[in-house]
Amino acid sequence: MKLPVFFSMLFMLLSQAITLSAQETAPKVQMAENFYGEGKIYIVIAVMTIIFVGLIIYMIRLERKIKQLEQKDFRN
Amino acid sequence: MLKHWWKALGALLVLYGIIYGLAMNVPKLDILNETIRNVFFHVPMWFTMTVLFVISVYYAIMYLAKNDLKYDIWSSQLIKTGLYFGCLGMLTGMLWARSTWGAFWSNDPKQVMTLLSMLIYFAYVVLRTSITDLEKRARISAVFNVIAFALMIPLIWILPRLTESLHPGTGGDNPAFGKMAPELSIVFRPVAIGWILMGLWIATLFIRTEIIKYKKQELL
Repeated sequence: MKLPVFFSMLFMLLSQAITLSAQETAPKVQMAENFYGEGKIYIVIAVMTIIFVGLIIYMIRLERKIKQLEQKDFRN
Repeated sequence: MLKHWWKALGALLVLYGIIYGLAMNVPKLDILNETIRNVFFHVPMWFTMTVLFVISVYYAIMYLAKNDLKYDIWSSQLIKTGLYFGCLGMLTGMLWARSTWGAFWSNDPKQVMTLLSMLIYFAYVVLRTSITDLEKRARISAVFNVIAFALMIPLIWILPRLTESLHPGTGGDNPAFGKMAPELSIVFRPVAIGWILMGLWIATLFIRTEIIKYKKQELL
């Protein structure tokens, strides 16, 4: 599993994101169309993205600390 | 840096689920409405738990074969991480069930059997704390792990599908959500892989801290 595989997976995701954004069917069922139309959902997406990225940064920092501890020799 | 690529991939895939999973147009399903998006978050919790348990039972068997305490640490920490994801799956599932099925808990076969297998794994954690001898604890844990795993797979993944259940993929007919729509599953699969990778990453942090703890006490 090397970089080319990684990039081809990324490409697959991006291409499907583009092709998937067109579908219309039966009316009646109530959806948050206006909410989406007003664009407010993007605020929620942005908030969730910030929180998730923040947690990832925390995990990376935690991992670095663990690595430092691993390199320390306790037997002295 | 390159050996961390799978962690970056996991984070990116989950981020993709958060952004695209909320922004995409979802199929218009009765009762579920917009909550169908939960499928990108609730279901991967269970996939992650199961994958962590599968790897854990592998290390339990490795411990029984090699008698190396390191395998016991890997195995037990994978179960602890898996249970975290199980709890998240349970809480999110109950919240979703409240809006879809009308109650937090409706004694659905999958709910009951999942709770049962989670309790078995909680018993594993409790059992470990009650044994002080490390070798003994590791051996009993490994055997318990194999038994718990042999119960968990049919309880969660096989039996509920053979009976009537509110959950999809069962003999019972779910009016709102029979089979996952292809436009959902094409997003769901990579996102689920992302969550599994995140679970593995968190588990490695648990394992590494535990190993440091053992080394500090000169047990390893």
